[in-house]
Amino acid sequence: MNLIETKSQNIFNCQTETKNKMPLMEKLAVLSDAAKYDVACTSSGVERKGDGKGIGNCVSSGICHSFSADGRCISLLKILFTNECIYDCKYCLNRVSNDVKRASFTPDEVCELTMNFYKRNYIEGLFLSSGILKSPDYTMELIYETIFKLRTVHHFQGYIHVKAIPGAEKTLVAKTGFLADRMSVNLELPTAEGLKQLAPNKNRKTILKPMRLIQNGITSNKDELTVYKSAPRFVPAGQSTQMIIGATPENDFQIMTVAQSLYQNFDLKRVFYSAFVPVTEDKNLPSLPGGPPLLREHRLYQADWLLRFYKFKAEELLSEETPNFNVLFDPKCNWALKNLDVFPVEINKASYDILLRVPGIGYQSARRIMKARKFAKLNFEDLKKIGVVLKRALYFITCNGKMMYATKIEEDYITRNLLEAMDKKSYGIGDITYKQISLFDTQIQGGCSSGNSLFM
Amino acid sequence: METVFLCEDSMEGIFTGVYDGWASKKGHANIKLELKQCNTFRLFAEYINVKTDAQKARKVSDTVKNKMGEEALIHIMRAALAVDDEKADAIYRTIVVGLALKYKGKVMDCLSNPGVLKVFKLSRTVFYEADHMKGFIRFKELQNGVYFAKIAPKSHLLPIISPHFADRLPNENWMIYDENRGLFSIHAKQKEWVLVEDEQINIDTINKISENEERIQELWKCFFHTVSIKERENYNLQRKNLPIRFRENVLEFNN
Repeated sequence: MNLIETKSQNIFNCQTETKNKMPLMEKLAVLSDAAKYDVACTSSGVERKGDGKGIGNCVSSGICHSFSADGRCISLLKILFTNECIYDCKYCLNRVSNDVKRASFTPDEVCELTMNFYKRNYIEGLFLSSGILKSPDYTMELIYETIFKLRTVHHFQGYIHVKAIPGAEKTLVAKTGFLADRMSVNLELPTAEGLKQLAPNKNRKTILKPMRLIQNGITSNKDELTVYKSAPRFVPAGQSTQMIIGATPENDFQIMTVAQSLYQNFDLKRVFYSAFVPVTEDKNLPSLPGGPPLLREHRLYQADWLLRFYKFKAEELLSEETPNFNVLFDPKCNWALKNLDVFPVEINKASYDILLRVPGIGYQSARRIMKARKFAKLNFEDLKKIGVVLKRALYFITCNGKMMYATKIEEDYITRNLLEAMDKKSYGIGDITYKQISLFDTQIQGGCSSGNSLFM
Repeated sequence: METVFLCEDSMEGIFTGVYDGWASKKGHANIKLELKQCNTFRLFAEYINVKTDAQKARKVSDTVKNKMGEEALIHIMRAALAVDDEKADAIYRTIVVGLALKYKGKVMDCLSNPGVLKVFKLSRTVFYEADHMKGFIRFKELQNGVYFAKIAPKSHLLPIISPHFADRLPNENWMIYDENRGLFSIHAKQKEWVLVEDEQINIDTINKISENEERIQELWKCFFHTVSIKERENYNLQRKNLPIRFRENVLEFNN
């Protein structure tokens, strides 16, 4: 331990002597600006009471402390340790060939910011990522030193999310895992080809290696905890990853398949999707005149929820023939319209798994229906109270054998009615006249081949 | 004739009302619980003033806990903290239904009962507001080393959020002031937190901030602004997630 501390301090002193003169405010501005494209800012997944001596606790659902102008939650102090990066990833603001202001924190500065923000209830904890300074090992060591100080010197028991740096030594990653709540390795781009094209210094193998390492760490730690209850916990909130959407030509089906295999094979807690924001110019990058592909990102998150909580499989939602999500409908609604033979389902009889598949019924409503129908037969009025969105669900359900209104169970009919009821503005499709809808119909049936034009 | 029990707007007051109503043996259908403040008198009803009694309240809460379980008690207690004219009666109905059930622990699943549904909804409202408040509270460090925060919630949140902060900041002296109710929750280092009423707030003391405070506040505002992605700006979403009514007491929204 001492060895590492003195070693890294020595390197640090000579290296940052000149840069240390930059005021903390400026550093914070540079390094939070550089970190903001990382979307993961959740503080969830671990429940930990304070020990009464130190400072901090964790709430399993996470807490949002503020919301920035882009409407995203601010839960953690999201910063890079340094943006002095030796890599040249084409999509990244901090690539070595880009001319931006560079800065590095010292471990003490990160601790000062974290502790002062935490005491004032600005944040739930720290999210520490970093550019690659000198080498992966060197960077990982600095990250380790920082959170080691937070945990032991400042007795900080709040949430810590750190990046495992691909290519860093195994033991360093493992040591860090015992101090952090969540670790993540960014997949960056959905496929190996995309990665090769845009991130010449990274490859799929070095990214998946630490991911597997953390997974194995978590599994063996669980075995340990069953025997020794007070054994130190390894990455208790699990690991997550992130993919950039829209920088490379992958379709939604490819992305969902990758996400699904990550959930299945790497036990990830979350996969995050980040709509590509063109921050640098490069001939390999697409130009996005319509802004970042936010609707596509939204659809991917919806589908991600279906994978994790609604027992859907990627192959059910998309296929080789219709590889992209429908612009107009969410993936679940789209699935229901394509599988009308399943419907209508009887609310008072259908199994939980079937209820989950009805548009307008979320997993909470489904659970409440399961409980409430034990006491009384439910009617549409009850469903409304429970929280079912009837204007969507009514085409797919019966209560005691009756539908809410006389409706046809027919794709065109339901599609038209759902579109009528939809808040069109929120979907960014503006004023659609009745005539235009009938034009759209053919495209809806073909999945969303035309949808791409919105994204490109 | 209907008998109306008027109770104080507090957990103890309502629980005492439940006790008295039950003990009166007038039949549940003939009894109504109302809050003292929001009462408009009707002609054909008998009114009884409930005198808040800690012991009676305790008996009710114990019964609920033992017979209907901890979860039901939490829902009922949260509902009692909400702002609603009919909460007292809803709580009474819920307890009546719950104790009559074969599986008393399942009372909160009977959402088709209007009383239970009301308690459930109120409990959810209070829970969400408390959840928001746990995030949106901003402490500032005063010259005397106390961390001070001011809130203006709709529901009476101090009993819910204070334990959270007592667990989180055991080594700090902190206090939270509920502007709407004139209540304080005060926590001294390594001690239990307490709820204080009728205390005058000393404007001078809370305006004297510590030396470091302004610098930290500036750092936070700087972070708050740089962390937003310009290409994704979406003020509607921001307003949906952090409603305007909270912003008065949230540092980064005030210049």
